[in-house]
Amino acid sequence: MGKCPNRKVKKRRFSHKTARLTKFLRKCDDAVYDELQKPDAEKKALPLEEDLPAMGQYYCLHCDRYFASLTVRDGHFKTKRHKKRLKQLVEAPHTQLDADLAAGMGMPDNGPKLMSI
Amino acid sequence: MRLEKCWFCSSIVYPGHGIQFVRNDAKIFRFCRSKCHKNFKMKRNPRKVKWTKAYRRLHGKDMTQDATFEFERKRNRPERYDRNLAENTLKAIKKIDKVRSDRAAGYIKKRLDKDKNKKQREAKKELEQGINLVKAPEAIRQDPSLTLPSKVKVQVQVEEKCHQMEE
Amino acid sequence: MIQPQTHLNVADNSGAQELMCIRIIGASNRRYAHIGDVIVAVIKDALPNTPLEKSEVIRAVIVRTCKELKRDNGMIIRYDDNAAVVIDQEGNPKGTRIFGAIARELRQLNFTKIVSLAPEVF
Repeated sequence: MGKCPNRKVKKRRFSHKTARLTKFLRKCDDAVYDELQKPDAEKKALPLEEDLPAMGQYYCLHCDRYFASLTVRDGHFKTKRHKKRLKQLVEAPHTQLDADLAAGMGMPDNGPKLMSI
Repeated sequence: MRLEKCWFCSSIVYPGHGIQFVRNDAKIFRFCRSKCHKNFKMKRNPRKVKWTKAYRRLHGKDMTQDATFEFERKRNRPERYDRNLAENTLKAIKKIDKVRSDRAAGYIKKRLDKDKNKKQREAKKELEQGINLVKAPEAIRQDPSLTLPSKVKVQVQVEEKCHQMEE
Repeated sequence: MIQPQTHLNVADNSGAQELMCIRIIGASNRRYAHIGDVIVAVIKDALPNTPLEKSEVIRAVIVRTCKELKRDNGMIIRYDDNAAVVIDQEGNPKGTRIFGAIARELRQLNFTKIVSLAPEVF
């Protein structure tokens, strides 16, 4: 969401709507990253959902947001926020495995494969 | 009871400490204390927070590769209970832990030693150049012991400056 | 910490989408309900063409809370949201599927049907 239109303090603050957006369930970085890593074949067409803007047809994968129309979405793609997000999602997010490795543990040992494939 | 590692700072989460967060997609995040939990809620990236292990490892502050890292790992296969084996393992843990902490300390010392000479040289230079800020030039001239003994050149320079100022 | 007027998500496919707690069952004057407690709730939002309708009064069991849950072994667990599963008078779920992670406490409270349907139990 954009900046607050009518604010008295002239600082870079986002509107209360932004705060509300982030409060509700949004996809975390690693979930978004997994989604992005999927090959194109697995990606399904967006399902029709009544509650979402424009039946949930205009969606930004990186920012986990729905838009009312194509023009609005393309406008969003040009925003600073979206570009920042693109940059963030280039490298893989931190996982529990990373935490374990940083703590000085070895890679998990799953033993020899039981079934030959 | 299994001792897990904290998601944020990679320290050990002992039983009865910290908190677990279960996301709706059934991923578990364990935190060793409220500090780590709060940082997670703020959506901070552990790789960018300086006090976490992830940061230190990524920036070469800590030892990253060592043979001792191979011992502690998650083993997803059942091991048949063997009393002797368990006893030996418990004995080995102490030894391995000591080796590892020694090596880690050695690594950090080596890393810090690199800068040591450079820092000393710079400090020396600064002292020579700025000695007249600490002591009045007159006092230095009267008592040569205040300057560094090895560098005679500097003393001359200082004296010259003093003459100029007097004139 | 669920009290009357709290809105909850629904963690099953019964057709209800959002509930509002109006009463906690099993306690005459208790303030808050926790995981495993049965509540009386109003359906605030429901999917069309399902047996449940908006503003219907039903019973539901709480399966996830944002407020931390303490276990006897010292473990503290927190979930993403407040969620409940719609049940009938006998304690059987009305839906046929359960979504998301579910607390292990439900098994001790004889909601075994719900636990067996759940994809993940913590």
